[in-house]
Amino acid sequence: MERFWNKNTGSNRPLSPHITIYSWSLPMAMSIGHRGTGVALSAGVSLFGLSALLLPGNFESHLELVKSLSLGPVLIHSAKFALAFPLTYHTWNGVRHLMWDLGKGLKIPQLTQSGVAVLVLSVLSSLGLAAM
Amino acid sequence: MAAAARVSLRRRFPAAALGGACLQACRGAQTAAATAPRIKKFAIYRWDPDKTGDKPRMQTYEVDLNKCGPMVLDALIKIKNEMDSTLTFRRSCREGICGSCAMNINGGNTLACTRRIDTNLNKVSKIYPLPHMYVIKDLVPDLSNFYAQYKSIEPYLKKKDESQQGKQQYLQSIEDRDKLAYRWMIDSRDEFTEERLAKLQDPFSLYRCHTIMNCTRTCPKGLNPGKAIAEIKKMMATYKEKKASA
Repeated sequence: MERFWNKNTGSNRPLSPHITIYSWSLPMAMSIGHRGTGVALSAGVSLFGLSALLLPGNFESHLELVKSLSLGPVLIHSAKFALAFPLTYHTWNGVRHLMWDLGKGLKIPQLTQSGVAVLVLSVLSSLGLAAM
Repeated sequence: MAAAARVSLRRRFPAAALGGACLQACRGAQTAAATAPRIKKFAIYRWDPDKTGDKPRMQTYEVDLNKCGPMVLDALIKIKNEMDSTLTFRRSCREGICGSCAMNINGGNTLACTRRIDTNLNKVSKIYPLPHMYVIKDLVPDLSNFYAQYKSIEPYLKKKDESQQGKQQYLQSIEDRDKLAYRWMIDSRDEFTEERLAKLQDPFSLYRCHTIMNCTRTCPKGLNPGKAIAEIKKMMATYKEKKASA
């Protein structure tokens, strides 16, 4: 294998195109989504922690600040939805991942069914959380 | 008119290598003698290592589907024979069993000999080599790393006591043969299961799999490697590691 790498990296051979040409599918997109929401959630939690440590004032004062902006209810609701969605998506898809680790649901039609179920559940739970 | 078309085609195709394709094309020519040509465009990835400064590019070819077999490999062979003999690709059995003609067709990895040409003439068929591989020429990737990886899993039966070799057929129950999905691990005739599992105990060999399942989706033989890998991961969690390292 080392010979392979030495030979090819030293040559002028091009690498065949991959993400630019591969056709997208639901499971593939949802997998990237799982990674993306995971990164976003981690970053969000870290930012929240850092803000709590470094920014002046407490949580209530920041809440009052947002309330004083008098944003429309539609905007507030959409913002809450946008914050809740990564959490619910990552959670429900996480359950799907755990089922896979048990060896269940790994046939192609099952993949599509569970994928759609996760998306529907995520949207519904996000709406629910945002309405609270 | 049909007879004339048949004779000219026979002269052009060397019988030895392409008997099958010749016969198909001949039949096609007969039935198509009276109908309008159905032109399909193929955009194919090209790159020549011998041409200095050549960059990978897409070259478009037009093929009359009435004069061509139904599979993508038929089109590739036709292009190579009649339009551009520099087009380079691997092929062998033309029946979907050897794996030589594996390439990326319209965004999915399959065998060219089993993938039907999409007869929608408004769409261009895009043909690329297997993704993310070093290209030797046109549609031919460097598979030596792949072969080395295959060699590293020792794809043959291993028994602890070789003295019984050749005496009798090793028998298997019907249930055992049903599980040949994840081949060597669960083959009851192989006694090195624990050592095989121990060999995968590093962050790369097995655990780079993130259950994206593109493998099962694309398999031209209908196999489920995604499930097999999941089963191996389960086995990794439950086998007794002390036995193997002892």
